[in-house]
Amino acid sequence: MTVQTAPAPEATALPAVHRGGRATALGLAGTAVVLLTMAALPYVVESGVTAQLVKLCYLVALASMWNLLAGYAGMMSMGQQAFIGLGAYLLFIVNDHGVNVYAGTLVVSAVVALLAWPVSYLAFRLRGGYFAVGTWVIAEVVRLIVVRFDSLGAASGRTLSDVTADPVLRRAFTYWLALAVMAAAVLGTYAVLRSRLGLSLQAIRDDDTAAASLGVNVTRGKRVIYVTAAAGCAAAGAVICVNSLGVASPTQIFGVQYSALMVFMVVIGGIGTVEGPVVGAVAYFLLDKYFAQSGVWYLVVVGAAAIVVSLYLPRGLWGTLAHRTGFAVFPVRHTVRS
Amino acid sequence: MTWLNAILQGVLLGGIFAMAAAGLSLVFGVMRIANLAHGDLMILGGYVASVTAAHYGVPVPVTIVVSMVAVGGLGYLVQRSMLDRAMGLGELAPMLVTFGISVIIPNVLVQLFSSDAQPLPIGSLGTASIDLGGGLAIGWFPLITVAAAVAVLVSLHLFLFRTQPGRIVRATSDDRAVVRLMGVDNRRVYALTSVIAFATVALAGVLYTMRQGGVTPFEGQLTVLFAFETVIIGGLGSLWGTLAGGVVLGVAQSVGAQISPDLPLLAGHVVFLLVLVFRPQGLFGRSVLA
Amino acid sequence: MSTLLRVDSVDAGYGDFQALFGIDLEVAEGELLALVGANGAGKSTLLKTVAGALKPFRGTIGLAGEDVTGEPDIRRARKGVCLVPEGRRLFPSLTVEENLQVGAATGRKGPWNLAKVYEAMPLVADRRTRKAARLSGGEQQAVAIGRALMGNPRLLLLDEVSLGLAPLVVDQLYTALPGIRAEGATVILVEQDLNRTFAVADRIACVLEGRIVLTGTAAGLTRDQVTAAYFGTGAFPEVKTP
Repeated sequence: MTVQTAPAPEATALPAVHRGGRATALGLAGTAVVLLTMAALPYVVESGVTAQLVKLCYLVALASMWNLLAGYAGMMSMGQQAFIGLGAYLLFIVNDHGVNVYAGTLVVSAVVALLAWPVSYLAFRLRGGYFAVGTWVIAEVVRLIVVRFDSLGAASGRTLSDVTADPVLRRAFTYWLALAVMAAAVLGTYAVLRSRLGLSLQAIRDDDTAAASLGVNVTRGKRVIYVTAAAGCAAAGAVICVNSLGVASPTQIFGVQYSALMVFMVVIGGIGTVEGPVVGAVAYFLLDKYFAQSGVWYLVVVGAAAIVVSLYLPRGLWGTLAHRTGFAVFPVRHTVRS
Repeated sequence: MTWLNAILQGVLLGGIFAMAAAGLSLVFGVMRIANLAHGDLMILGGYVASVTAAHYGVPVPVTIVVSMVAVGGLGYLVQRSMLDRAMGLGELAPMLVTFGISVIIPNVLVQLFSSDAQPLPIGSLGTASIDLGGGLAIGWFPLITVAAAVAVLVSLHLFLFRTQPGRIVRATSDDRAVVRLMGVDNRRVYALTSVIAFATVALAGVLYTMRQGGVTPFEGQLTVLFAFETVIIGGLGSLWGTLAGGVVLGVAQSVGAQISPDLPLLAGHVVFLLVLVFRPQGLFGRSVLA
Repeated sequence: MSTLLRVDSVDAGYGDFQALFGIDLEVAEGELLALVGANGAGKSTLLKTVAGALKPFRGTIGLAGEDVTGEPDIRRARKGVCLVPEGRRLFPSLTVEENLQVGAATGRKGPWNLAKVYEAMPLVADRRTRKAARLSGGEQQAVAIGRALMGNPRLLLLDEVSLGLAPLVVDQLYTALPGIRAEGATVILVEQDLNRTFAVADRIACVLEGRIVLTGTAAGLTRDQVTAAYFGTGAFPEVKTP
């Protein structure tokens, strides 16, 4: 009678768990260099260039926020324009009361974060596509309320009352503000993802129910992300307002095209990576710069590109590259090396 | 009496919303896809009818059929070529595809037809009405719209509950893997569902366009919100709930308009949010969404 | 009797996880084969592979001499391979009668229709207008079998019929079995209760950790042999080497 038994386990050394170590340091160093170089630009180039880069900066910030929501918390929002617009309009209010626009950006971000907390209870009643449209409805409601205030310019928009007098200084300050917002958005996202919250989020993203069964407070994690993204979008909205010295109309600043933009940037760049939104924002910025004059067909191309990428390159440009090579500027994943 | 009239108008408007929302609800039930382009498809239906009438001299009632066939056919293509694939790629992919479509449609329309309103005149039918006395009047056209809405919903109900293909659609909605064990090609079911949904939303779009006398390219961004709100207010998974949801939304908008001309949209949205707060499963919903 | 089903050197699994290793199996037309094995042994995986719900990594599956390995579950169902899945998986929002009607979607001609299913299983007939979600476990199992019968199967695959059900209820289900076989169906039955297995099976195959470790006629095998094969202890006549 033969009895098969399993072989005795050999004693092996524990495998090492890495999280980028040296790569992280290099990534951060590289980022620091890029940021410092960008910060030095107003001394070197003319203000037309930095004005364009302001747009790139807030695009990166917006894309990072949408990526936090959809790529890490699994929430596809079509209503972030509510917070973009609120950021802009609240800036009018604080500015009218004597706060300068730069400190004001910080103030409105905090205020919007506070407002977003109760709103999240409403929005979280819905999931998936219905959540997306629900956030859109909320944005519409905010717009319809704001439009009723004559002191805020009603339907015709308004300009900021108290800005830096000297135009050269003003443009430089605006640029540095945009740079700061962008850096906060990207590095903030990175910091969140490397924290315990970030680990919970990745678990939530992969499987809600499994994460909950392991004790991850799914709703709390999502709420924190929702509020953070709201604050980030508000900051971006404030930057947009400062850059244009005001708002053209509520319909513009509360427009769903911002959401469409964010979707496009993140899908093209790569959902679920820190670098993806940056790549996507750069891609959109270049597309917009060189093709926006060709008329509306270019938007059709943008829509078609979103479809093609989501069907055939679901990880996006950066995501596909990172997946193939394992490379990351901002490493978030733990890897095991024996 | 103007209040009663406003409510009446709202009920009639609700018929269109219900018709638009029925397809949305069906697609979500069977395929778990929330179609972000639903509003744009409605508008596309209006455009097809308008163009067929204006450029090819087709009589307006026939354009309804043309629109339903054209947009229904588009539904088949979209499902087979894009959504079938997206459904295998996770929860986000189908929404991103419909998002892309919702960007393409209005921009193509604005390019082809400019942003001026594309007209779809219905002549005397637009103003003919039945006098109910006491200052109350029902227009013939709104009455036809409601009749159409009820007809669509009744047909859908009969299809789903009294025919074998309809039963198969409901079974696929319950369990798309097991239904294959019975020899059912679930992808054919998705295609059929899409065709039905696109055709009904096109019908809603044509009637919506007729009601306004014309349509503009970006109105889909408005109507998509109405369609989703109707489904949520009525409750997921219930066809008659969708009718109720449409009526509630229509009445809210109509009464809002009566209070002040700049209030209809806000009133509708606020009612939607209130339902979300106090009865998230909707009026007739079977399950809570979150 | 001719061979209805031939499974040849099949490896199958889910993604990275391999569940079946080199499965060889033959089932003759009209016979009842019982698959015996512990939880996780691979019995359900095997049934799913035969039904076409799972594509094997390697090997072939032949139905009445025809190679159906590449065909998905939809086509195989139309060719007469009907699976009653584990967990019953009725359509919850449909009534019992509607569930049965969907079962007929295979489009196959044969003796089974609503009247005959109701006659063979009175338990089902009593509940015909009730929504499937509101049935007890035993009632659901009966409806699930009825639904598969409506497809007029040539090969009926029954996965874990008695799981979680009271013995009396299982008795009722088993009384329907002779009637099903009398209409000509070949049956593969997954069962953990050895008494019932020996009572109804023509042949028995034992599955252990993804391999078939014992096959033979019910008459020719002893309970001890099957028990040993179930737990993987002792010597047994046929061992598959990996």
